[in-house]
Amino acid sequence: MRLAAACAAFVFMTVAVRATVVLPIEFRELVTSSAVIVHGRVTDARSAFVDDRRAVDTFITVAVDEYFKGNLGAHVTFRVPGGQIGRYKTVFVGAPEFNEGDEVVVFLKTPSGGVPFVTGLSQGAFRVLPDSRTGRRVVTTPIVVGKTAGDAERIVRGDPARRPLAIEAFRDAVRQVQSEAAAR
Amino acid sequence: MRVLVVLVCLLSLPAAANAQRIEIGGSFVTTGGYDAGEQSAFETPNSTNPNAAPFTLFTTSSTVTSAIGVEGRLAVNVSRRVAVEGTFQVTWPSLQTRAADDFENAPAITAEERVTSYLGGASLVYHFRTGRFLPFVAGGASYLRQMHEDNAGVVTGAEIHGGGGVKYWFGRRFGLRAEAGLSSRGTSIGFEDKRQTVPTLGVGLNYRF
Amino acid sequence: MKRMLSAALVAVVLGATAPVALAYLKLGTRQGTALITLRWNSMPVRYFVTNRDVPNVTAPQLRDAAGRAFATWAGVPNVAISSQFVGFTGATPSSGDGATVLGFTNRPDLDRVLGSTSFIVDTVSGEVLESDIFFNSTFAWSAASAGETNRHDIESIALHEIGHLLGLGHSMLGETVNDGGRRVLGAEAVMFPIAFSPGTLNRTLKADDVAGISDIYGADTFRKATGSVTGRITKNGAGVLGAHVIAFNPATGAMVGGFTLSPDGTFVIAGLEPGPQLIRVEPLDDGDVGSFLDPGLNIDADFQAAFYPKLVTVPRGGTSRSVDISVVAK
Repeated sequence: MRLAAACAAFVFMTVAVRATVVLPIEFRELVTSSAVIVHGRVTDARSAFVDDRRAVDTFITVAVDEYFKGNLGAHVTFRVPGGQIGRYKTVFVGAPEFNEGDEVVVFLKTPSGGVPFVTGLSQGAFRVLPDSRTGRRVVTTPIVVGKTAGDAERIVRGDPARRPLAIEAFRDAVRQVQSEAAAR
Repeated sequence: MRVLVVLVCLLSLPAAANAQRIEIGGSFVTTGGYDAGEQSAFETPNSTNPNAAPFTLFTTSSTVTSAIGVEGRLAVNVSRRVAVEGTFQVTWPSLQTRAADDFENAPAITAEERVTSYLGGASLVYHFRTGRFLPFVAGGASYLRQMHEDNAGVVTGAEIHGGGGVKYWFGRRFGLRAEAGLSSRGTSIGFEDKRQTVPTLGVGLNYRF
Repeated sequence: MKRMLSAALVAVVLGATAPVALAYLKLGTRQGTALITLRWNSMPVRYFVTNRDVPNVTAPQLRDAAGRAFATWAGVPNVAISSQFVGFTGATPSSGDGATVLGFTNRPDLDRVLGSTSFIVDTVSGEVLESDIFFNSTFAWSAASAGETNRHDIESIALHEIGHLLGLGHSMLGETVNDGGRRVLGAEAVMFPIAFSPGTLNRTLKADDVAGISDIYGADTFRKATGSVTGRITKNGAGVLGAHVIAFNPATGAMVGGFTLSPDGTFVIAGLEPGPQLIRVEPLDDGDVGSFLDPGLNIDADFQAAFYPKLVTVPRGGTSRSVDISVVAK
């Protein structure tokens, strides 16, 4: 009978670990409340002091492949809290983290006169990765979306219908929500 | 208590000729099962009502199954009708937990583990007559020790039992024994902190010296 | 940046061993190949409160709520945690002053974030210089003992965030529903990342929270009195990374969760009461992976929830036999 390995066993997270209380957002709300939805690749991630040097944010630049909603040009820059300047790193637990070369779909809000920010913090940031089964590029994690706009529906983990969408299907889902919203 | 002692002595008087006879025996036994508790996987509900019903992730109900086993006995006849008997019994029930009604549609399942249950104790046996065919009653107490699978945990406690049966002697040495009774355990394997009483049956052989 | 009060919060630098999951999750950071866990090495945790009121909650009320929340964590049996309110400050959380500050900050850009915990780490020495908690004043708050309709309970959120400040990550013990928007149905850990509706209270630690904080700060008596379950989740023979595993106690109803954090699918759930446990596994497919795990991990969420068909007995002060669960693709 082995002693419990508690002393030496840890779960180690990178600095992007989430330690935030969020209000949940459903996909329709994510689409309708965002001004811009962009698919592209991260080309730059640069941290800077903000708020009179009282905080650090990271400014992410994405080379746009396509817009699913809105248009901010061939490149779009948005901010996320936290970042590293010199040897000091501010870990804003809950902020999405981006690296150069990441293929992403990002939902953005655009404050007037300000730098766009991610809707719902990490809830508005999706990564595009090859599907382990098919190799197709899919958007992870699976979106949380109800079958209809109104009816209550349990969110069931392991539901066979809950899968990452191929990037094309994801785009179609965004446009479907936009059509529904326009029709109401 | 004093009355009981006097009674035992009076009953023993006719047995002077066979007062020191020793018996050993072995039986196959079976013990009954019992409900071992129900428990749901509750989550604190998202509600402003402090009395709101909890959210249920899944439900469970547990049982200890009936079991078969073996028993060994050593008895000393203190009189023609009264014997003091030591017993050692091993049975193998299963502890089962049925999980169902899962929110995430995990298939319902019965998870179980094998338990090894030991009883070691003593009984007082009274035979209603002498001769080949001997109906009897017995009662006593035991120490209960139940081991979870892989000996990963143990439950111990006290047990009391009572019952009756018959012996049939083919000759001076060999005989059959059949009996039924109730076994009551203050502590036993399961998820409820309550006394469990189970029926027991046994059939076996005896040999007397 | 100034460094003040920096000795208390220590980043313990360990070798780059393969991470093994315990229940709940603990916070850490990577420094090169070294893995750093976050832990307060000396007590009390000394903290300031920003001297700023918001509608319906004053700074003293925030101080009191934080004090109760700290006391709730410190009240877990056999853990060595204590705290000390030092005073009010004009500094805001995350101001880089080397002090631990809790306070309200107006962050309309964090439009779905009620509160968050941050750390400032010296990436050269591995030292944690500062840890702060902000509560977003964009939202409506309450410090009322019984809560208030349509207002978020400050003590409930403080309890969660202080769990992070002490080194805990998120728990996945909770369920949601789409009901005109996504809503929590129930949760069995204060460290579940999605908030209950305004007006609700979530001020009581659950088994998963207790197991987590005891793992970080528990006395030796805790480890001797509890045990752990270990095992592996596989699919088609290969390990499953990122599976959520729950140990359920049929005697008490307590649930403690953990994850498989290595590609071979192994897991360990510790801090369990001795006795039989029912083991259940489910995929992380309804939430942001980064809310629980390293977002760089390519987790496998393509399987159905399942129970392990055997009861697993947790020995006191020891580890169970290995539990191998084979899951099925969706």
